[in-house]
Amino acid sequence: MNRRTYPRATLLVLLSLLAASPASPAAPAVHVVHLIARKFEYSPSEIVVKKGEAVVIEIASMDRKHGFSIPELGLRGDVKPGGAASLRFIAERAGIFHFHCDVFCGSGHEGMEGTLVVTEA
Amino acid sequence: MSAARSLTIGAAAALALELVAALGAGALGIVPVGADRTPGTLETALATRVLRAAVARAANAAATPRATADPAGGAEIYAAMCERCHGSAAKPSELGGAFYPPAPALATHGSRYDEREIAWIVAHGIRNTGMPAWRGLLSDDDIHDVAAFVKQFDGAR
Repeated sequence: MNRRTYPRATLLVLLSLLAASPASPAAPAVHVVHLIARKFEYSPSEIVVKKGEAVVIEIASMDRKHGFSIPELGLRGDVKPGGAASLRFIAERAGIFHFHCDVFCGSGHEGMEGTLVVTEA
Repeated sequence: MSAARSLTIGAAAALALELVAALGAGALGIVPVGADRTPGTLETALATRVLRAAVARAANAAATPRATADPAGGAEIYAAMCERCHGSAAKPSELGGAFYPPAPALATHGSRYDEREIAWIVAHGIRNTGMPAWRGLLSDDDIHDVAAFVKQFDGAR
């Protein structure tokens, strides 16, 4: 074998092996949901994600301090007045989960709620 | 049979008889369950004693309230969430008075509980009354603010 062509042959073999090998598993996509919180509603009031998805809920407050709580999933956070908060979780269970504001935000606070729907993948 | 043993057996039999009678009365539907009557003296005395002891014990084990509770914030929450049943200084609650037992008229009578106990009651509610557990709807800070505000009624009596 020509000694000068040896490295080139090796490179070709390596490249062909790389081309033949299955693609490396891609990082799971993150489902980002943007939520607006204002007295006395969340917009949107329904979030739909798929089971198994990595979910990030980005919550922005348009007025005063609000909370976001899904007791069934042990998920909660505070959103400062005019600020934002980010909640990350994996949607491990399919089902309908209710969320609500758990920081008093005025008369009507008790009606500030919404629904997270986790569908089967 | 010794006198002590006879006494024990007699007391146990009496208790069993009372239990059977109570269960029978319940099954026959003759126990009054309407809320439109005044609680009896014995019932009030017993329930009050049990409630006070339970609240004191639970509150003692609960987290220490914030040192900087905000009664002004508590006033806003009270007006929106509590006043309907517990009344305001200007007006007692007709609705709260119709409960069984009646909801305490906090604004005009104050509360016999201390601030920590009030915070526990607000957070956990009182079963078999109209008092709900607010801890799902209010933050810990909110609850301590309400307790601080309610305690101010004592001074206004």
